[in-house]
Order: sequence, then structure tokens, then C-alpha cells
Amino acid sequence: MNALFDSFGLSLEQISGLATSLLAVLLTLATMSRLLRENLFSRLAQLLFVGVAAGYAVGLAWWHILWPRLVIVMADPLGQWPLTLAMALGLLLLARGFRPASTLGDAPVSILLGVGVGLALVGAVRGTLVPQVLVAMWGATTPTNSPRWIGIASPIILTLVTVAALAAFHHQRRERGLPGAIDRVLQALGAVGRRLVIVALGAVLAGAWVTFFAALQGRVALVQRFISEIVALWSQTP
Amino acid sequence: MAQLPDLPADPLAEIAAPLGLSAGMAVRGRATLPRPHEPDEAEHYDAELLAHLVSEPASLNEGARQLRQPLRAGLPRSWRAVLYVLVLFAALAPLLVPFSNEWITPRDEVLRLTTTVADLSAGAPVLLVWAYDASYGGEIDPLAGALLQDLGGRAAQVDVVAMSPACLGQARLVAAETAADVALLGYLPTGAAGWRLLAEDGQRSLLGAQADRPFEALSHYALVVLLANDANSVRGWVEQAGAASGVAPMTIVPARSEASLQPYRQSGQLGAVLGAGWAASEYEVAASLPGEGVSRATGLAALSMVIVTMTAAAMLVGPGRQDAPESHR
Repeated sequence: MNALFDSFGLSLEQISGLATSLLAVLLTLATMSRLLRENLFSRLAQLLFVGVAAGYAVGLAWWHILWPRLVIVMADPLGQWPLTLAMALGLLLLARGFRPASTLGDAPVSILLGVGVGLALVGAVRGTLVPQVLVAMWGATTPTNSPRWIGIASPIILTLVTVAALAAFHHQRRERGLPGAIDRVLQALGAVGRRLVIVALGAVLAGAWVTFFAALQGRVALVQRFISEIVALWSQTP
Repeated sequence: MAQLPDLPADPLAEIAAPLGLSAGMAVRGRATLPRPHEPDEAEHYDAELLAHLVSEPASLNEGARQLRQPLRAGLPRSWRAVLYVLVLFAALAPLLVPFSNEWITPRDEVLRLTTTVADLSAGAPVLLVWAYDASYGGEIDPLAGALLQDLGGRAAQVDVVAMSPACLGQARLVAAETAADVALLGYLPTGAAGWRLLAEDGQRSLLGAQADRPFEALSHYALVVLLANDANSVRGWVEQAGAASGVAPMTIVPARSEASLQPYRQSGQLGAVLGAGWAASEYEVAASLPGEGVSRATGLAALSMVIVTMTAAAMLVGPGRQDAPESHR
């Protein structure tokens, strides 16, 4: 085989790299061909992706997580009791697949949910709720070279925009008295708020466009690099 | 007063023919009535319609007012083909017309990161928390590569902790193309637990470790940079690792997540938030580095032109604009 590669003036590494790039280019083109219409190649690429991703996850879980710990537990189950306990809970989780024994799986699920919810709740309060409320009350940090009025105006603008955006979802309209007057004010604020919501959605959409376009640029760059490699190798081949 | 006709002598003489026409119709050669013709399709339709009208209950929507007929969903094939070709042309633009550095002005956020990197002493420890995988490589790779190149130029000691095996693989791919001193320390489980472990017990919990260097506490590092797939990952850092350690990292995210993370930057929980899509070119200009970012900016400029053109065309002659009817009941 090496002799065959040598006859083209290519090393094994070069051939291997070329084959990998060719596969990536073909899969990219197969996926993009869906733009024309749903076809065999695009579907094949999708199925391949799902299959490879699932296989990769299973392989990784076995070789990086389960097997090294199993070896440790089997060597000294009592000495490594925290690991043994965790493994036992993992086995109990499998019991949820069998209806008669499914209640055995409640314990690990409860632990998972309890830990997850506890972490998320405490984290949300410590990391988001309290700091963001404090910033809303005392003002955000602004860049040092920005004018002072920006620091003062920011919370006011933030409050006004929030109220206007919320008013956009107020649909009640009473005709008379004080409630009617309040409704009319909210209607006017809501009209402003709807436009602000549209502007905000436009900004989010623009960001999403940039992200997806960057992915496309990455794929185009891959194809271009592959063609350049082929051309370079072609010119080197005796 | 009208005169009464003369009564016949026998009032019961014509009792057998009570109708006046009877006598005339009884004679030979009387006029025959034409046979009724077979109802045609239109008459059948009218009859059915009438039957519906009299038998069906009134619709609840009868009083509804339709302001505008629903627009046709989706673009026509020809429009779609034009859009695809234009977007593809925009993606190819960097190959045709490379952008010039003078046209790009780095923002304060980008300058803050370049200044921080420039101020690092030789051998300073830097931690990159790698929380993006190949699906966002197209956008974040150019900026990550430029950052690693810059750190390599400052002789910084770069440690990488990934937040999944796929992220670790992506880090290896990007690091292989730079000359920086990069140690891939391994990866942590995803989710809130992984972020908390990073802050509290990183060294013991790292999986797939391949480097000789140990993972130090977050506070040990002179610079922490978080490269993340989305806003949720960054929120995971802020709520778990950030809250536990007090470290405010420089953050690199896809452009679509940049806006939603600004509150965390304003509260000081993140040092900077950079949308990789446009920050890559700014970083390269600010740090005077060659790279892909500047040429990618050409594509973004071309995309902007495509969007403006398509928006104008859609507003003038787009679907639903030509034949939008007046409001009707």
C-alpha cells in the first residue's frame, strides 16, 4: 500500500488527511443539497450524524466514565464505598426500564432531581436574581470613558422600556372613569412598546443571522481549503 | 251598485263541473301544458344552496371581520433560488474581495481583552474554559485561534478545561494550529453540577485528562476566558462557578447570544462579552494579527447588502404585497 502512495509522491499522513477532508466536504455538500429538495444524500448525512453521535456518546461513557470506575470498585469495593454507592444507584436507575421493579429507580431519580433543582435554584438566586436586582436599583457599571449622564439615564431608560414592553401585552379597554383613562395611557404606551419589541426581535434575528452565516462561511472555507490542498498536491505530483 | 247576474233556474245544474274551466278543458284539442324540463346543474346547485341556507345554523364567525386575506406562506421557488444564490455569493465574497484592516474599528470590549492579554507577563497562567463544540466552530474558531496565537506570542501558559468531550476535541483542533503552550486538562460533566465542580473541585473531577499540569483554583489564573456555545452555558458559569469563586471571565459567545448576556456584563459578573461573529476581525486588527477574521468580515458586509436588498425587494414587490386586498367583511 505504501508503495502505491509513494508512486503518487504522497505520504500516509497526507493521504489520511486528504481522505478526512474529502469525507467532510462530501458530508457538507450532502447536507447542503437539502436546499434543493429532500434527497437520499441529505437524509443519509443526517442519519450518519445521529448514529455517529450516539455511538460516540456510548463509547465515551463506557471508556472514560464507567470502565475506569468499575475497575477501581472491583479491586476494593469497601474501600471505595462512595464509588460503589454511586454505581449501585446507577444500577437502580436501570430498573426503571422494568415495570415490576420500576419503583427501585425512584431513589436515584429523586437524588438527581433534588441535586439539580437545588443547584439551579440557589445558583439562580445568588448568581442572577440578587445581583441583577441590585444593579437595577443602584445602576449598572458603565465604561470609564463614557459620560456620567449615561450612568444616570440607563436605569431610567431601562425602566421605561420595560414598562412600555409590558404595556404592549395589555389588551383591556374600559370606556369610562379612571380605569378608562388608565387603559388609554396603557394603550398609548403599548403602541410604543410593540415597536420596541419589534426592534429587539430584529436585533436578536440579526445576531442569529450572523451565527448561521458564520457556520456557512466555515463550511465554504472548508471546501475552499480542500480544493487548495488538491491543487497544491496536484502541482507537487511528479 | 253592481247588478247581480241572473241565476240559473236550477242552481244544482252544474254541480258536476264546479270549476269554470272544466267545460273548456273537456273539449277535444285542448292546449296541453308543456312538460317541466329537467333541472340543470346550476338549478341543482341553487336548490342545494337554498336548502343549506334554510337548514344550517348560522356560523359563529358570521360577525367576524376579516381585515386582510392570509398571506401565502413561504417564498416562491424563484425567489428562494435567488436568495440562496445571493447568500452563497456573500459567503464566497472573502475569496473575491478581501476586506481592508482600515475599515474595521475595534470596540471597547475587544480592546479590553487585547489590553488584558498584552499586560500578561511571560509564563502567566491563563485558563480557557472551552464550552463550545464543532457546531459553532465556524463562528468562534477564528477568534479562539487569534486569541491563542496572541497568548502564544506573550509566552503565556494556557490551560484548557472543556465542558464536554466534543468541546475538548474542538479545543485540540484549534490549539493544534497555533504555537501556544496549551495544556488540555480534560473535561467536566455538563450542567449545573459541572460548573460547580469547576469552581470547587476541578482537579478531582476532570475526565479525560491528558496534560502533566494540574488544574489550579480559578483564582490562581491571571486571565480566565470563557468560550461558550450559547447564553445558557454562560448563565451556568455565572450562577455556579462565578457565584462560588467571584471570578468574572472574558466571554466569547456566538453573535446571537451577545445581547442577552449584556446584563451580566453591566453587573460586573462578566468581564466582557464578545460576539465572535464580528469580534474576530476586531481582535485581529487590535492585536495586529493575521487571521481569518478580517476576511470573514467581508462576508458579513456582503450579507448586510443582501439583507438590505432582499428587504427592500420584499417590501416593494414581495409576496402578499401585490395582491393584498382591501379590508372587507
